[in-house]
Amino acid sequence: MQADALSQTFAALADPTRRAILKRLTAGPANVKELSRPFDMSGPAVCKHLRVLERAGLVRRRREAQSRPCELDPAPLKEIAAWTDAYREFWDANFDRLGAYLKQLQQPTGGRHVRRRKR
Amino acid sequence: MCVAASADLIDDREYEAPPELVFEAWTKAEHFARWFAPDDVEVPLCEIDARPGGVIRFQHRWPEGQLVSIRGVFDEVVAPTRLSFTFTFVDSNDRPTVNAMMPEWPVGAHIVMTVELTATARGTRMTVAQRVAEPELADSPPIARHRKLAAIGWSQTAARLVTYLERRTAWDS
Repeated sequence: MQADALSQTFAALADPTRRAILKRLTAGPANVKELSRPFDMSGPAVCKHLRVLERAGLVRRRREAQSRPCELDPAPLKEIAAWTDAYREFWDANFDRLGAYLKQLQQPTGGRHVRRRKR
Repeated sequence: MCVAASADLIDDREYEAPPELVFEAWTKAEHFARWFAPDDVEVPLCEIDARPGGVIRFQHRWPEGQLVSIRGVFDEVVAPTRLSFTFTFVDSNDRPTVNAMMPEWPVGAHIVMTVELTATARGTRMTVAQRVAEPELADSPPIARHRKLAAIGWSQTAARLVTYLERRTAWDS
């Protein structure tokens, strides 16, 4: 894992406006004007956020069109998801198992010969 | 949902079982060992003395042979609503050691785990939160990352985004 790249991604994600911009971009590419509309922000303010997102590799700006639309680059998010998946799965699976176990305990047999659920 | 800003909420769910039973599942070793480990992980040791100051110890042996041992002490035991213990990863002599499954986790960091149970119409609502006890370690990169992710609820969002995006071939370039 490249700690520095991850830290940059995290710093970029730490701001609610930038997260909102990313969410907007999941619907498809958008230019600065379109992105600033829902945020009650000036174009330059949005551009500042976009630069942070660009540096973190989360957003790419196309060069071809005049409006230079932005699009999402999922690569750094993939890295974050991979990094957190193992941790989350461990807990999710444990608490799923707790649910299954509680069910077994409440069965008339009292769960004495409980079999562990295969996932 | 109100969680202290410094704690990660790691789970919030409802079970169709009374709080007393859920509480026992956390506080009796014979119950705890049945669910608190992935299916392919052995639990060679599980001891729980659930009272304030009492010790909790367990070991997980992972399929590739890694052994992860924890030792913790109960801070709060309020049956059947609240439970809190502070643990760290230890070696066979109870000395803090690296967690073989999480090598980047700082050695000796203590994790405070808090479980809250509330009776509901269906059974029990359970919330589980974690925080790192040492303020200086709470800011170390791996822990800060965990915390930030949880604080902004982003871990799941990131995963959802990735799933969503993987369906869109337009992004593959």
